[in-house]
Amino acid sequence: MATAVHRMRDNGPIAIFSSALRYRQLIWRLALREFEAQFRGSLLGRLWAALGPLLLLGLYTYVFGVVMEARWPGTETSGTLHVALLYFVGMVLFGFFVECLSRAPNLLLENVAYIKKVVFPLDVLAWVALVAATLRLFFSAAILMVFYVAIEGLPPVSALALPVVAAPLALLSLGCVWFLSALGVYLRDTRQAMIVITPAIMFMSPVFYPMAVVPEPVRTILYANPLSFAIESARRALFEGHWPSLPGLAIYTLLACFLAWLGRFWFISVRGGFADVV
Amino acid sequence: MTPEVLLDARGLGKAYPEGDRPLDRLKEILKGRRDHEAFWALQNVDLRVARGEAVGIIGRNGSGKSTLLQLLCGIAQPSTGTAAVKGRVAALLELGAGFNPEFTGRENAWLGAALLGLDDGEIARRFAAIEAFADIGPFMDQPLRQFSSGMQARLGFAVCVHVDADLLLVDEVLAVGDAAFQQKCMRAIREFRERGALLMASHDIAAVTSICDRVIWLDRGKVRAEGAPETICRQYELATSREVNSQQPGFRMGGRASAAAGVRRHHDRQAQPKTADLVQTAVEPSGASVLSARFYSEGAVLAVAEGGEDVELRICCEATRELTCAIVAFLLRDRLGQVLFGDDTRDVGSPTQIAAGARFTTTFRFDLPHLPTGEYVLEAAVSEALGLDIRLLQRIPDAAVLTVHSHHPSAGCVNLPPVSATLVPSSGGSHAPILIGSDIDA
Repeated sequence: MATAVHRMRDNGPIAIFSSALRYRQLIWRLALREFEAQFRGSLLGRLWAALGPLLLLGLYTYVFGVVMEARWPGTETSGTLHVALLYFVGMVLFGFFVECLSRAPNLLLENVAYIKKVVFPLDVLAWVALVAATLRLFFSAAILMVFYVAIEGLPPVSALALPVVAAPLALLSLGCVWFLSALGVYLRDTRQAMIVITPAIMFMSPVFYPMAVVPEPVRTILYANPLSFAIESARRALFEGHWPSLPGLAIYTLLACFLAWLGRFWFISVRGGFADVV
Repeated sequence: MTPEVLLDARGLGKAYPEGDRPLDRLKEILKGRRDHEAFWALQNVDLRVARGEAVGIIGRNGSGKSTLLQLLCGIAQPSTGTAAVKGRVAALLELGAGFNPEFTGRENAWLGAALLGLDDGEIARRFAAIEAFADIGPFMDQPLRQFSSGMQARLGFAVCVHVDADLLLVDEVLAVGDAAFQQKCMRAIREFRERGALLMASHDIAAVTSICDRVIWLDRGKVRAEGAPETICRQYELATSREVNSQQPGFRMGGRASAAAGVRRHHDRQAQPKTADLVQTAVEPSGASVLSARFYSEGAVLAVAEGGEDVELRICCEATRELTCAIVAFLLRDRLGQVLFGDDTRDVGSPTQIAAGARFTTTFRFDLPHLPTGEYVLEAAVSEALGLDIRLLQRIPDAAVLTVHSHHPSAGCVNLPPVSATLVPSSGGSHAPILIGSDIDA
């Protein structure tokens, strides 16, 4: 019977989930604690979970919608509130992805005790980050739906596709977290790089515009951004009543699985040196 | 029926790359081999521990004890060799349950137990016992960073002994914690030995000797000796005191007490400065220097004493100019810096005028008081008296180290010669007196 460390050497695709399953109680507790810790000690406490996205949405809507008088590009759609909702969908998904990405480089560096003092299944930390980000996502999504109902009325049936679209994104983010957190231990520049890349991702994702208005060669390039497919499909499902394209979804999911596996493989391969350099 | 082997390590080694950039370590992993000259923290260690065994690991700081434990519990990866572990391993490395300083004691304890493979239900059942053992009261719900080191150790230890571990690895953690806690730990460790195996790294020779069946001595990353605790610990102490006391071929271990010879009479000293003051007054840059100070017993250098021996303390000094009245003084301090005793040559009748450039040796001969086991530091000083004024010329705070290995446990700063005690019921009965004594054969 081996200890936790030896077991982590499983490299197959199933292993992505088996360690999560084994430590599910641990992951849940740590994620909950982390989610709460963000607000512990602040005056408004848990309200921030809702207030945060709301305030941000308000800000973007004002700046882009009112001050810059932007409309939803390529269409005649107007109405500040409607445009705000369109932004919000993109922001919710974008926020989720970027939260994972920017936490990743320092994820292990912040938890030195888990590396050096205790036998800890380190790959589980990525799950904790993901679950914490997902909790935030739920809050934001709930607010989104509340506003949607208030502004547009009842959502179409295709809105049920939202979780289906978000799931591969989550898996993909998991892979990125594994990759970046492991890299971040050896190359401290990773954190700095992420600070620069994050705004770039924001403008390279269809948060403030639909893919349709982007001229051709650039559009294909933008689809390389994993967020693009998710945001476009989510918006279409919610506002146009279109279910996401099945082949597209299949490819997306496969890609997400592959990237998750790749990220974990990298993590496991270089895990041996963590205790030496931290 | 041979006991089950819980730990089997062969050829364990750990090297750290010389380049200390993390990126170098990554390159090393990716290339799968070592490019540069590495520092070997541990080399070629074989170790087998079976259920019911307690193995101690001793060695100087930096000898690789912590590295070995880290390798064995999987925190660090070995550079060479393999380690196979069976069952659940609970490790107490550095300070106790220091997983996450922001979490409360309760959360850390829960986390520690969960990491060892217990699920929520099992932890809930044992939590009361863990809490009772740790006995830290309201701190259970305070963040760990507010704990003292003793409390962290108590909590960590409480978790480790309540998780049905098969192998317990303990590293230096029992040094903190008050006497009551240490007692509790010792009892828990003894109970643990009955169902599991224990591996303990420590500087506390007394603890290692009393708990372990086997001791391994690590020196600069290699196993230097392995065997019964008494033998190996003794060898270890000899070696370390030899290193500290500067090389002397052939030295003597302490032995029986014998009568002191040549007692000096001390005149009334009250008006004069005490020996301790002689050693602490202002320093004049030149005049004389202390060259060496050594304890001798029966003609050979004494490295490890038992207490009660007839010793000679020889302090050798050199005068850089002519001294009219040289005074040599010494103090013996325990590890806490407390002065235990000292003396000086003020009442000596022999000439104390020294020519420039001459060397002179002062010999103090006395019965070494019975001291508790431990290390003691000798401070030596040479001064000059000009009329009533005494000027310190040189003081060496750590001129020599004396290790005392007493067979009689001590309850305080000093120890007793072999004690004989009788306990007699005072009322009624024709019971014979019960004689209680220690070292009665001494």
